[in-house]
Amino acid sequence: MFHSELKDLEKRLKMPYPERGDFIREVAGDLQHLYTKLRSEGLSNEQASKKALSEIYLSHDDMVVIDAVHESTAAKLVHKLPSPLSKLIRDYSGTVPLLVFFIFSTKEVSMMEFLREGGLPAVIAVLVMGGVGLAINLKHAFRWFVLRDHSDESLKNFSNGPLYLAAATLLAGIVNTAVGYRLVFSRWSQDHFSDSVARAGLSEPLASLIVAATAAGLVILLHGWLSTWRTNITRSLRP
Amino acid sequence: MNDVVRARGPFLTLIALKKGPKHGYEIASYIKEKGGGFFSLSYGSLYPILHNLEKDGLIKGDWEDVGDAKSKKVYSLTARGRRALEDETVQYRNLIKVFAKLLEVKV
Repeated sequence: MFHSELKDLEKRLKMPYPERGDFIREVAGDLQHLYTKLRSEGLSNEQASKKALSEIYLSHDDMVVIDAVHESTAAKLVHKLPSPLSKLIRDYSGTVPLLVFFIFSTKEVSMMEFLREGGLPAVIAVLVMGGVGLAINLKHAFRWFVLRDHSDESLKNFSNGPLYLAAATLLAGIVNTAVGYRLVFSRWSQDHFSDSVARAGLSEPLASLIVAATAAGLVILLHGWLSTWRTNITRSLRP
Repeated sequence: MNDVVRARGPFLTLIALKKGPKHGYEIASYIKEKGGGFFSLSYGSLYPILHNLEKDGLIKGDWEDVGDAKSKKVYSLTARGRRALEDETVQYRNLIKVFAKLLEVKV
């Protein structure tokens, strides 16, 4: 009973889950109680339903107030900022840890050497693709867990784009590594360098594959976790 | 008048819960009946009050099964809520005495 009205209320509310699910359950319980009382007073099914819905009614202003009660502290702070800055923070704050990690790792000489071994231009391409995939997922993570923005718009705006980027990242890493090995074996077979140099050369192309596999793996794991969370969170509503 | 009711909403809610746990509809009905119709809190304004009070730790909500896999949320005062109600009640009593003096009426 009242399923469509409650579903409509759920869509119009902006408060995060699971509080939204709990609130809908609460309203459902009160509606049911009032309906039962009105029926016991002799009203017909239709009259009782109509009266219950008119009494337990939330206007747009009421919903704004109750959404504000459950707004996270981070979201309250972000909303106080000017609109362009607020949008910037919502879209890019999640990538800050990624940038910090990238800047920190590039300052490490051994890391740069490692990346150069894999062929810098190709490794950069791998890093960019994997980085974009991670950045997209981190944006969702920031919105959902820090800002607790579980609005329809925020939850729907979740595509499989990062998975395609992860696939492209891994593919680029595999191809670059294969090309690297091809070069090493080709020159080795033509005696362009000694066996000891060749042995060192065989490990270098792996850098590209390691970076690509790590980036792609992180993207897939994060995407999978976000996807599962998103599915479960919207299932938490059961009036 | 609406602003007066809205401003007193939390206090009225705590009063409604003083005699025992109630769910949303019972709280709204209690306030309306005991207030002689002077105070009337719509559900739209009652729910945010309840959620705010719960967030502040003055009341707590528990789910009660009502059969057919349904449940209702019942609120009750916490110890902190009782103390807050007592403090607010003392303030109101003092306020009434002061206004009675100013208006030169007997209370």
